[in-house]
Amino acid sequence: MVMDRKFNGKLVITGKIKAVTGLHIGAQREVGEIGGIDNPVIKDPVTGLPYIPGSSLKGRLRSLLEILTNSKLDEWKEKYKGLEGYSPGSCREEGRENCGKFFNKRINNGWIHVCPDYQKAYNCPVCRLFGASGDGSNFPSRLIVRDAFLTEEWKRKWEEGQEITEAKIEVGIDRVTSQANPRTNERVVAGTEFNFEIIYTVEDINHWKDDVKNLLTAMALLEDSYLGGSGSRGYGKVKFFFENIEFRKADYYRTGKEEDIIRIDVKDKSVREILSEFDDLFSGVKSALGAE
Amino acid sequence: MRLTVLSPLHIGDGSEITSVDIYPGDGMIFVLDTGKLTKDLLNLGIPLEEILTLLKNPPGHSYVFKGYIDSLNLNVKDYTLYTLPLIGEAGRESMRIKNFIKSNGKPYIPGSSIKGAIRTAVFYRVLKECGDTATVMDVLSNVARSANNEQRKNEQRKNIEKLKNSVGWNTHLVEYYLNYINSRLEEEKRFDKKRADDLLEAIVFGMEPDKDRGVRYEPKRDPMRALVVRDSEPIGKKHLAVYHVNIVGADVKIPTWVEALKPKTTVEFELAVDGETLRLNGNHFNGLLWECLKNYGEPSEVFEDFIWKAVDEFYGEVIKAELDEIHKHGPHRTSVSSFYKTLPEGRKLRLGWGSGWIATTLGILLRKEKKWESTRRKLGLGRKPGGRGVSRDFPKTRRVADGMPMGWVKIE
Repeated sequence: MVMDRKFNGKLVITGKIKAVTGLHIGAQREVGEIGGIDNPVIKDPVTGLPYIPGSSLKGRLRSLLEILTNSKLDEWKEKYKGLEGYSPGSCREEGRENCGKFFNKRINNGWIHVCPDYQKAYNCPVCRLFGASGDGSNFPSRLIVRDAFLTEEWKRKWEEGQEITEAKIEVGIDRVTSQANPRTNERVVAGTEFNFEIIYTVEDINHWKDDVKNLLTAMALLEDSYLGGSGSRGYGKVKFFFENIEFRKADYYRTGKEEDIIRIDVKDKSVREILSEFDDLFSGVKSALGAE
Repeated sequence: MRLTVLSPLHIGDGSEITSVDIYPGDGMIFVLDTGKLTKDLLNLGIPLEEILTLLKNPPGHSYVFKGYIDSLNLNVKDYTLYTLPLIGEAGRESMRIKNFIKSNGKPYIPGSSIKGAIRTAVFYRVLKECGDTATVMDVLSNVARSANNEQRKNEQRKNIEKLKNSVGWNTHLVEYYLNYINSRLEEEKRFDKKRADDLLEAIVFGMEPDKDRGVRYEPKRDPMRALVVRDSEPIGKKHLAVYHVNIVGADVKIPTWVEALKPKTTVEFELAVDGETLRLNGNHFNGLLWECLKNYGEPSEVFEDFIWKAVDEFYGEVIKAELDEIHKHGPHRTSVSSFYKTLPEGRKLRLGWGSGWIATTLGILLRKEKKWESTRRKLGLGRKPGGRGVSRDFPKTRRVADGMPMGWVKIE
């Protein structure tokens, strides 16, 4: 397949992401940091305030969509031709990349899905959205997930002296002696809100609808899963609060005109509501692009 | 899910309120705004040096600010951050209150506490039902076969084979484990008692080859990672009270107070089993738990049911064990016995501080083994204070708050 990338505009999704329970996205503790906490959370080196790296958020969204795709592999093969060569499961057992199973690439000790070339990625729901650095050719990501920094309200709370992170002491109990093994984890306190911005580039007018639905699906899955570490024991429940979704037509980037922006009213809608009302909400985008 | 507190529940955050922070009232603890109070005392002409000297060397009792409030006829309510009902007596000369864990000032129940209590029950049931050495040896053989680091393969296999053979000399994994602990206690002067269960945890939940012990615990191979338990929603502070905890059976009386959730407090929390994680990692999980699940059907499908049966069985046994040793509750035996006998139907767990050795360990299985008593003594469990040997009776002490054993909750 010939690489034929096009630009048909961008969908810019903004809103808040709330840590419903304490959030731990870990950072390396700096060597020599006397009195520093064990297992600190990642912080902006300039302000010292915690943030959600775009890479963490994007990685988690990708991982959840990968798992869903693996589960729906047979059902989705007709729609996404790139999935045809795969069977469900992981190449981990064989210890060999591209063994024919869906999770086909080794990343340190884990296995993820990455299409090996542009053509496969173009026809894969995961890789065409999140990108693929394959062995043959790459498929650039259509998605940009920005670092999510504290909202103004939470920055103000911090300036007024409210703690934004907490040191949570947990104890592992030895099941023979009942002696306690304390460990301390720093977490962003429950309730903290961050601004998120996710940008989807419409490259293919026949793909945008599916891609955006897949993105929203991954966001819905994330709300029922967790972000960051220690998620199976309480941490990292997050919720998205949308403020705006706007479609900036390709012309907007030449004219800068307001009329080249289509605003979609998603305020106060949940991910699930946006998904269920998708066709109505995005009808303007559909007309502007003139295709599915 | 909904959690209902059945007896005082304390989950600590590692911090304490000390005597200088409080004013013990009648059935109530006033937690003081010591900053505001100090400012007013200075305005009233009390020298800062005097306050600091009293804080360093309190006279008679340690309620330094209570002394000022009483002698200057100040209204304690003007300096109160919040109050907590006190159940039991306040310390006459001093008291330290262990704080309940809070987020943004509101108490909550960490998912880690609930999950830890479930994990103990699963650990118990796996050993009880699948801990025969034949099954364990099969599990270890599979791990040896899958050792995939080419360079170290032979060495890894050799180590696991060695472990497998040692297990094979016993009839049950628990029996083997006590022998293992004994031999390690003989070999190593500094055996880490905080990590006495490490090898057992690895074999039961999931493992990787290890050069020292044959295998080591590997969280990625543990099916329990599919059990997601969220932190509970915040709980209103009105559900907290300060309890004077009686440590019954202790040779030395150490007065203890804790901030605890009162019985009848209810709170919602989320618990989910991630079926995809179980299905996707079916070939990766390699512990005795996963093997044990196969007895009941497709492991990913029977996992949740297995967990709940484990909880019901384990905590049922804990209740039975506590009733069998009801005399250890001393003057509280009648109220504790009545508490256990009138527990509501349904699924129960024991959480948090004061749960005791029986509820937080595999003690119910361990003490059925012949070698347990000698191992227990070598481990120093039940050591008397001041190096006066090891108690004949273990576990000897019980923590009782308001006539109830601590930490029982119901989940539904």
